[in-house]
Amino acid sequence: MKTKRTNPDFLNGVPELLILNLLARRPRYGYELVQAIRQSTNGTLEFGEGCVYPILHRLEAEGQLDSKRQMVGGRSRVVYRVTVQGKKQLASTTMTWRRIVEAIGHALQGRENGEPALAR
Amino acid sequence: MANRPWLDELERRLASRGLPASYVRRFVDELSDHVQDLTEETMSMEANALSQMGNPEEVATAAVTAYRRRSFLGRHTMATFCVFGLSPIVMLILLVALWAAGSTWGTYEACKAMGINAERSLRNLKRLDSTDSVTPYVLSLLFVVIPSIATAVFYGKLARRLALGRKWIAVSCVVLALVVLPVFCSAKFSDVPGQSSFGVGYCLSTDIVRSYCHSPQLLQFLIPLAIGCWFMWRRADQVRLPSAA
Repeated sequence: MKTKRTNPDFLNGVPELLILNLLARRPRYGYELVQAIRQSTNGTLEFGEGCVYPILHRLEAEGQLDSKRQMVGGRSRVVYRVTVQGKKQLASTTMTWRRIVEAIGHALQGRENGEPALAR
Repeated sequence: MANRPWLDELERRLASRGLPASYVRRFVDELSDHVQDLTEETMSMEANALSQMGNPEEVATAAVTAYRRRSFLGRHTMATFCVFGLSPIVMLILLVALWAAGSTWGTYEACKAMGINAERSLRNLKRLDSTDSVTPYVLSLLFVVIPSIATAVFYGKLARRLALGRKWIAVSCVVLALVVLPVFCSAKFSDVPGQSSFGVGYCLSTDIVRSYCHSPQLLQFLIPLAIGCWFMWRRADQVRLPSAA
C-alpha cells in the first residue's frame, strides 16, 4: 500500500503554526482541519493525515488548544478550539515566521548586500 | 471494515511504544472517525483512504514523539535515564559515605567528651556479628529490598507516564539490581551500653559467587529484576490485546 510521507524535518513547527491559525478562525474537528490545511496550502504540504492528531493532542496538553466531543453533522466528533494561551502563541510564532520568511527572501533575492562575496 | 487491521496494527504499535491505554484509545477513535469521513466524502475505497493516513509505523512514531514532547523528562530520555536510572548508585554511595563519616565523627566526639582515648577504644572493639540469623533478612528487607521495590515500581510507572520503551525499564531495573546486590547490612544488639551497632555498606569481595550467591544478596538482586520483568510483561500483554480482541 502506497502511503504519504509526513512533513520533512525542515518543516518543524509549521504544522503547529497552521493548526493554530486555522483553529483561531473557527473551531474544527480533525478531518475538517486536515482538509482546511490542504486547501489553504493548495496541497503543497504532503503529510500523513494521521500525523495531525498527535500534534493536536500535544497542543491540547500544552494548553494551547481545548477539545470537546460534540455532535457535528449527525455524528459525535472531537472539536478543537484555540485557547487564550494558544492565541498568544500563534501571534508570537506568526511574527517569528514572518521575520524568517523576510530574511530568507532577502537572502535569496540578493538585496541590500548584493551577492555574497567569496573569500579569496 | 477494511480499516480495522490498519487501526489494530497502529494500536499495537502505540501500546508497544508505551503510550497509556487511555491515550491510545482516544487516538484510535479519532483516526477511525477520520477514515470514515475520508471514505464517505471522497467516495473512495477504504484502502485509498488508509494510504492518505500514513503507514502505522510513521503515525505511531509521530504520536510517540508528540507525546514525549509534552514533558521535559520525555524530551530528554537520556537525561531521564541518567537522573532516575543511575541515581541509586550515586544515592547509595553518598548514603554510605555520609554514614561512615557521621559515625566516625560521632564516635570520636563522644569519646573526646568522655575523656576516653578513641583510637584505643576502637582498636579494642571486637568484631561485631549478628546475634540472630533472622536479622540479616530483616535488615535487608527494611533497608534494601523495600526501597528497591519502591524504586523499581517507580521506574515502571515513570516509563509508562513518559512513553519510554521496554528497553528503558529493563536497563533501569538491571542497573538497580546490580547496585543493590553488594549492599550488606549488619547489626548487633548488646546489653552493654555503647556496644550495640548497625552498619550498611558495600561488599566489594572478589569472590563474587561466595559473597553474593546466598540469600539476602540474591533476594536483593532478583527482586528489582522480577519487578522489571513484570512491568515488561504487562507492556507486552497490552501489545497483544488489540489483535486478540
